[in-house]
Amino acid sequence: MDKKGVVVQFLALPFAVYMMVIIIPFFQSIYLSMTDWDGLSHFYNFVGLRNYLQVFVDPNFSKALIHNAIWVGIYLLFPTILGLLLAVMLDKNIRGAVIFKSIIYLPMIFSFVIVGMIWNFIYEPRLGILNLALEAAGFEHLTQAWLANPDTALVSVVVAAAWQHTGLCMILFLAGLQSVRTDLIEAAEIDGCRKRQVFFNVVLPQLKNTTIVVVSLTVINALKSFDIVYIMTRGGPFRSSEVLTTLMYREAFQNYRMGYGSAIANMLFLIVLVIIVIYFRTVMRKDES
Amino acid sequence: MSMDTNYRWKKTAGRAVLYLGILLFCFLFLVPIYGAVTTAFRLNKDIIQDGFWALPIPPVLDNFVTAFVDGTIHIYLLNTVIVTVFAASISIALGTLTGYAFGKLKFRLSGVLYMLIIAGMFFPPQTVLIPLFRLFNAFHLLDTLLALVIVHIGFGLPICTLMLTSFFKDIPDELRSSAKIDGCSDWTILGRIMLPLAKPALTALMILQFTWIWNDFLWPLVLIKTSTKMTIQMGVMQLRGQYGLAWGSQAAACLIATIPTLLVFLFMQKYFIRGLVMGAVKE
Repeated sequence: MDKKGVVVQFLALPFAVYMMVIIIPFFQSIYLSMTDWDGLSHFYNFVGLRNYLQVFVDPNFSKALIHNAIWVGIYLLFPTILGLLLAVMLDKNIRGAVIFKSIIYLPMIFSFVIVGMIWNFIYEPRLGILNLALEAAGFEHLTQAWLANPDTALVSVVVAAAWQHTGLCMILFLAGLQSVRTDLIEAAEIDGCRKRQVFFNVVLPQLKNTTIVVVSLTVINALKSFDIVYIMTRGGPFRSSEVLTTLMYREAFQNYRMGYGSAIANMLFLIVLVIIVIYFRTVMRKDES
Repeated sequence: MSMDTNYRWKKTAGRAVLYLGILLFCFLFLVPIYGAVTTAFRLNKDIIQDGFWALPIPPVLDNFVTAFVDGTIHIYLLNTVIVTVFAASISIALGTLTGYAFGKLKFRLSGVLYMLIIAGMFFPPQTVLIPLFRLFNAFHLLDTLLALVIVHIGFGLPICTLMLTSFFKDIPDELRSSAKIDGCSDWTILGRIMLPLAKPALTALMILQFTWIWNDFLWPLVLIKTSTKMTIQMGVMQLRGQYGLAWGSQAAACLIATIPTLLVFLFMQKYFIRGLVMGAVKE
């Protein structure tokens, strides 16, 4: 045990900041979610759990929640599995692997604002690359206003976000592949296993922890996404791409319902908390073994 | 013999398919970037005529001039540099304190306090958006860069703590105990012995923090109102709002906003990636 005084010296300032920015506001948020504060006036009423009850009957909330679920679904299919696939392909000593990896990483350095903006150059109905390419390929009937059509807006936004997220998945899987035991792979190959069998029965089980980490991060990122939706569609058209974060922003900062906005934010926190617990249990268990 | 050639043929075909697959993905990944780059170097009238894909022949720089002169993008850049430099360095400085405390000092509640901070890494900022808006409003800090710096220090602390704790843990305890016998305080040990060793971890952190703070959009959106105090991500969006159909200058602004992170990526890729992996996988 070290002297208390020394510990306090080291931790006082960081904890003061952390308390101020995260811990105390967190508890305030719980309190505010039980009020009808409008964000401007000095007076507001305590309304108990009314905001939370409203969350459950608000069709916009359930709609946003479903959109978040779709987002998570696409995120798990496209960037996660593609990231694994690319990691496996590029883990081999092939020529140009460094360049290929860099190309897949590259979108990661773009902010979601920039990702949203440059994907406009893809989706723009008349000038966008996607519609021009579809026309050139003779699929003129498929061209449409991707972000203005309620049927395609959400998926179009998620695809742009997934483009950015794939690099992170690949990096984490590549790191995981480093610790896969090559002697087991060789042994399996000597025993005459096919490549596919080796991958599914030898490599993949050893990537279990990496996979849980990637999946947790992917789900959390999918739930926290805000910037890119705000930039590309603002949740529209007709709330067809509304997610919990944009709904919260709309209610709190545009409709001035801070209490209700807090309630939505706290629901989001509860959902994320479940994932965080799973994530921590995985990372900690790995450390013990 | 025939089996041997068959096997070889199969292997070559497999390689070809692999290469084709990789090339296809890389091509698809580059298309959006190509669209932005080519648009930035073309005149608006040409863009409206041909769309976002034609090559810029000859390339023009008018859009970049517009982004600076009409879009005042240099003001946004300066604001972002100020916020990023202060917030990144202070959060890393505080992270060395927590990292040293959790990695080298032994005290009660160490584990609990550590978890409390680390959990902040995944904390949705939306949860504290409204209370912090209220706090800064009460202290008349709304619409100031200081508010952004404070927020980013708080949200940067978890990752800094995580990486530096695991780094300091790996340094042998004997180093500290022998320095203690020589009469060094923990502050001297941290400053003179540990910090010089921690350079790689500090570099990786600096890069991660730089990228995240530079790219942040949510906090300036909520906390900043005046256009002279906006950060670059907001500024880029502002440009889009003001000049609705000025595609060229929008693309140019996007490129300018990305240059700093791009440079970091090109020259420090190894640190960037090592940092990301450490941040996600290491305890």
